[in-house]
Amino acid sequence: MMKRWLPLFLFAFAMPAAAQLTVDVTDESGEDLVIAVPVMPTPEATDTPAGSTEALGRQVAEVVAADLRGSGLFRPVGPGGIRAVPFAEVTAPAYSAWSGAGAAALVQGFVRANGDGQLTVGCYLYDVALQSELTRQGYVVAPRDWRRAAHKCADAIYSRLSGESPFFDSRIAYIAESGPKNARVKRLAIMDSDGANHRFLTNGQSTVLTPRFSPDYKQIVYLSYVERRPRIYIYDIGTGRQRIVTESSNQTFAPRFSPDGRWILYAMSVGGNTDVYRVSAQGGAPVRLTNSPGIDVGGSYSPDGTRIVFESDRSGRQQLYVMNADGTGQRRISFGGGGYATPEWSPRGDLVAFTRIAGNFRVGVMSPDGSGERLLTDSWQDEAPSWSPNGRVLQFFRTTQGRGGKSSVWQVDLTGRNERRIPTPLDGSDPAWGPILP
Amino acid sequence: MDRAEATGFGVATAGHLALLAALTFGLATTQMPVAKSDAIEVSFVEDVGLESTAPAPSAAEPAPLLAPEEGPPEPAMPAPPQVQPAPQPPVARAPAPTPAPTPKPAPRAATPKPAPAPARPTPRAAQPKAAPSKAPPAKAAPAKAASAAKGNNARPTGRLSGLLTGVSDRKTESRSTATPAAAAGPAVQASLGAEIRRQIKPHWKAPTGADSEQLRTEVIIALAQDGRVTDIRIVGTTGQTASNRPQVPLHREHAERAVRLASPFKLPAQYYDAWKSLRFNFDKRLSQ
Repeated sequence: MMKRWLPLFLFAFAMPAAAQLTVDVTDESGEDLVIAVPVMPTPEATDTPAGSTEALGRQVAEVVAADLRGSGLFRPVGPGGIRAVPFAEVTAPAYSAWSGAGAAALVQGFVRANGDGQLTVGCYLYDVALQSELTRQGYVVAPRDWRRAAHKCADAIYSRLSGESPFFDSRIAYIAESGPKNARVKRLAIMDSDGANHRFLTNGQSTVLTPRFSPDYKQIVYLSYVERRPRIYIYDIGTGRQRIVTESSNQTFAPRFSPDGRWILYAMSVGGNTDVYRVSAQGGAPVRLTNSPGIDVGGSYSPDGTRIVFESDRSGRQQLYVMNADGTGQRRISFGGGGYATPEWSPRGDLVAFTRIAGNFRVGVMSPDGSGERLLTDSWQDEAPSWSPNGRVLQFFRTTQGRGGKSSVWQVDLTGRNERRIPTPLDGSDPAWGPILP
Repeated sequence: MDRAEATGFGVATAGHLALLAALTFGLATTQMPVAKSDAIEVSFVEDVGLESTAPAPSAAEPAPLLAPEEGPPEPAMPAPPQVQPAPQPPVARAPAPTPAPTPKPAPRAATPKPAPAPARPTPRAAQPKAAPSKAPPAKAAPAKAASAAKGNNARPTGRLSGLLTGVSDRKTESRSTATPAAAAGPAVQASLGAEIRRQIKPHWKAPTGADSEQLRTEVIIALAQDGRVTDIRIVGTTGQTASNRPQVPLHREHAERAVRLASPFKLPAQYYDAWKSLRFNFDKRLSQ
C-alpha cells in the first residue's frame, strides 16, 4: 500500500524544491544583546560572614552584569534601575514585563544561606522572546567566595550565549609598578579576572618580570633580577616560597609553562648566543631546542604540547617561527615588515598572538601557519599579549607616549572592537592570564 | 626685421582672434547631437519566475469580483489566529447577490427543481422567502468581510457605497474564479522575498565573536496556508574557520529561533504555491 503511494510522495516533495524562493537574511544591526540582570532575591534574609544574603543578592547581580558588560558582546541592564523580582518569580519569569522593557535575555537567580554556613547561589538564563529557559546552574560556595559564584554564573551565561568556553572565573598575575622611572619598584601581584581580590606576592626588593601561572594555579614562574642577573624562579602560592628553577651563571629569561605543567620553556644566553631551552618544572638538566647563531627567545607551547612558537632574529629582524616540541622542523611563519615579538599560542590552538613592531607597538594574531594576520590594537605601545583561558580575549599592557609614560593592563577581544582597561591600584605591566579555576 | 616681426606677430594675433571668434560663434550655433535616452525602468529579480505572468487566454468571461483592485498586502493588521483561506472566496462573493437582488440567486436556487411544471408561483413565493434568509449574512457582511478580507486584501471602508464597485451589469455564465496571474512572476517573487525578509529580519541576531561574520546558515522551512511554520530543516553552515567553529551550533540555533519567532508569516494567500517552502540564508555583516 505504502509502496504504491511512495512515488507520489516523492513527486510532491520534489515540486516545491524546484520552485523555491530563497531569502537572504543579514544581521547588520551590530547591536549588542540586551540582558536584564535584576537583583537576586533571597528566600530569607540571613547574616553571613560576607554580609546578609539580601545584600549579597545585589552584589552577585552587579558582578554578573559587570562581567557580561566587560566581554563586550552584551549590553546588560541592571541590577539598579530595573524591577526587582520576588523569590517565587526566579523560576517563573514575568516574560511580558521584560520584553516590554526591551530585554532579549534575562538572568535571574537567588542567594540562600544553607544551614551549614555555606551559600547556595542559583543562576537562570531565559530567552525572553521565545519565553524559554536556556540554562540553569547552582553553586554552593563559602560566603567569602561569593564573587566566584557570580563569575561562574556569568561564565554560564557567556558560554550559552556566545558558544565559547568560559573565562570569567580565572585569575591574572601581573607586575605592579611604582616609583620614578630610574628607580622603578616592580612587584609580583595577582587578582581576579575583573581586578578584584588584588594581592601583592613579592615586596619589590628585587625586580620581577614576565610571570606565568602554572596550569593548576599553584605556582607562578617568573623572571627576577637578583644581583643584576636575570634568573627564573618559581613562586609557590600556597607556601609563599620561591625557588630557582635552574642554577646557571648564564642569563635566562622569558619562562613559560607547558600546558601540562611539567616543563618550563625559557631562553638562555650562552656565550652571546641565545637559544630556547626546556627544563623540567622540578629542576634538572636543561635541553637545548634551537641552535641558530641569532637570538631565539620567547618559546610558547601549542595547547597539545607538540609544537612551539618562538621569535628569532636569524633573518635579520625579529620574526616568528614554529618548531616541533623537540626542536625539529623549524619554519618561519611571519613575513611582514618591521618585527614580531612575544608570541603566545592560544589555549584554543587556532591562533598565535604577538607584538608587532613597526613604528608603534601593536597586538595582533595570526594562525599558526602564518596566514590571516590581523592587528587588534593601535596605540603608542601595546605589547606582551597573553590569552584568556578560552582563547577569545587578549590581555596586554599599554604604555603611554612621553617621558613619564604610564603602563596599564588592558584587554581586547578577537574582533578588536572591545577594548577595556583592567583597574589596578598601581601601574601594571606583563599581565598573564591563568586557566579557568578548577 | 623688427617691423616684419611686429607685422608677423600682428597677423598671427589677428588670425588667432579670428579663429577663436569663429569657433566660439560656430559652436554657439551648431547643435550638439546630445543623445537623450528615456530612463528605462529596471527591476532586479534574482530568480526566474515560476511561470509566465501572462494569464492563460480563456474564452470564458471572468466572473464578477467584488473588489477587483487588489491593494498591497496589509501586514500591519492583526491576523485572526485561524484564517481559513479556503472558505474565503465564497464569503467574499456571498454579499454580491444580496445587494443586487437580481433574479440571479433565485433561478440558480430554482434550477435544481424545474420538474414541477406549475412551479411558476412557487419560485415567486420562494424568492421573498429566500431573500430574508439571505439578509442576515448581508448585515454581517461588513464585519465578516473585515476579517475575511485579509486574504483578499479588500479593505473594508465601512460604507456601502463602494459595494457595487466592479459588479458588472452584464450577465455572465462563467464561474471561473481564477485570479489573473496567480502564479508568481519575477516581480511578485522579488516583492514576496522582500516582504518575507522584512518579517524575519527583526528576529535574526547573529552570534558575535571572532570570524562570526563569515558564517552563513542555510535553512529550508515549510509553511502552512495560514503562514505558520510547520517544518524547519537546517541544511548546513558555510564559512567555518578554526576560530568560529564553536559558534556554529549557536548560529544554527539563532537561525531556527528567528524562524520560530517570525511564525506565522503574513503573506498573500493567492501566492501560497510560491511561499509554501522557503530557503533562508542567515548571515551577518559588520556595520563598520
